[in-house]
Amino acid sequence: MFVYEKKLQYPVRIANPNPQLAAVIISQYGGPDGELGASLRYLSQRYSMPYPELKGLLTDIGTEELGHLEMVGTIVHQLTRTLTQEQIESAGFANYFVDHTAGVYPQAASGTPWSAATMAVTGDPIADLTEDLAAEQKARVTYDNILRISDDPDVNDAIRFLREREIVHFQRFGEAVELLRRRLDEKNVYYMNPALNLQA
Amino acid sequence: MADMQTQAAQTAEGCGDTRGTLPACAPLANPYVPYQGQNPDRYTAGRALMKGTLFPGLDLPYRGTGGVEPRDASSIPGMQDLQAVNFAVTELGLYLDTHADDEEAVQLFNQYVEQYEMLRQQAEDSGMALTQMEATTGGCYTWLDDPWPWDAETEA
Repeated sequence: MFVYEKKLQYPVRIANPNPQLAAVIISQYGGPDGELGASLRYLSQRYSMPYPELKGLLTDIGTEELGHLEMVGTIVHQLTRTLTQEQIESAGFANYFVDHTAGVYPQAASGTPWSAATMAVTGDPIADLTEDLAAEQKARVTYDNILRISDDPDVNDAIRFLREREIVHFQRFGEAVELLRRRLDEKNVYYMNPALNLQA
Repeated sequence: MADMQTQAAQTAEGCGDTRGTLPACAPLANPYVPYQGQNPDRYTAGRALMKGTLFPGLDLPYRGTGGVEPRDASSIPGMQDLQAVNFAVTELGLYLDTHADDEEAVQLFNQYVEQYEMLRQQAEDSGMALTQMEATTGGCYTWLDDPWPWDAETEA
């Protein structure tokens, strides 16, 4: 089960509201490569993983991603606190405001609501871990692009932290593939699905 | 087998801290990421939280145009020892998931866990409950006390 700890993984204290920036950063809450998808992807894939290292890694990274979801939600919340009427009506935020006011809703920057269609659970460990490597890269690029757009140092400290986590997770998923490979027939790792044919 | 492990360790060391090992003759049509060597260089917990990783070898920041330069840790508001030590535990935990036989990392993990437990106890004693189970300091139910993490006030 999960136990809530009343703290963020990394401090988020944003001094200046900026609804336009919030409407972009919301993509890492509920966009195609955001933290909601990341946590659900790993926490769902872990059930069919055949070896303890793989079960552990997907559980631990999936759990950390829930903490990142909370950080991104906090950034969006703090960027949309105490808005002026002018800020509410501003280009880039009015469309979000009309449906969600200053609530935090899992959607992409384009307005598309979060969808499980943006993630995969194939039940094949090599395919799933390869998807996870790609997912970390895609999230890393989204954070790169946010850093390019944002000039708020309070926001960028937290975004830099989240971006670096993608790189570390990529490294660990790569090592997970190697740990899996060492247990399979090295000449042909595709000779069967270890989740189905090897009950560990 | 022991010889092979020693050889692999030497190779990793020869690569330096920013590089890892790959098999000399790897099977085709497989995804490969270099394996991080045993007992890699580490930042302190405070610096690690600021950087987003405990490992200098994995510290690969974005240097594209736009945005603003990173700040010193001392100027980031709200940076807490508790968060830094907890982050070191999280980061070492992921490392140990794929390097379970790195004894020095296990020792360091245990040290950070002990340190975290101490800081958590201090927080509890001062009335700051991290989990609901700790939320009864002095016979009062403190769980609902502000601040909630997303509401943290900025320092004026």
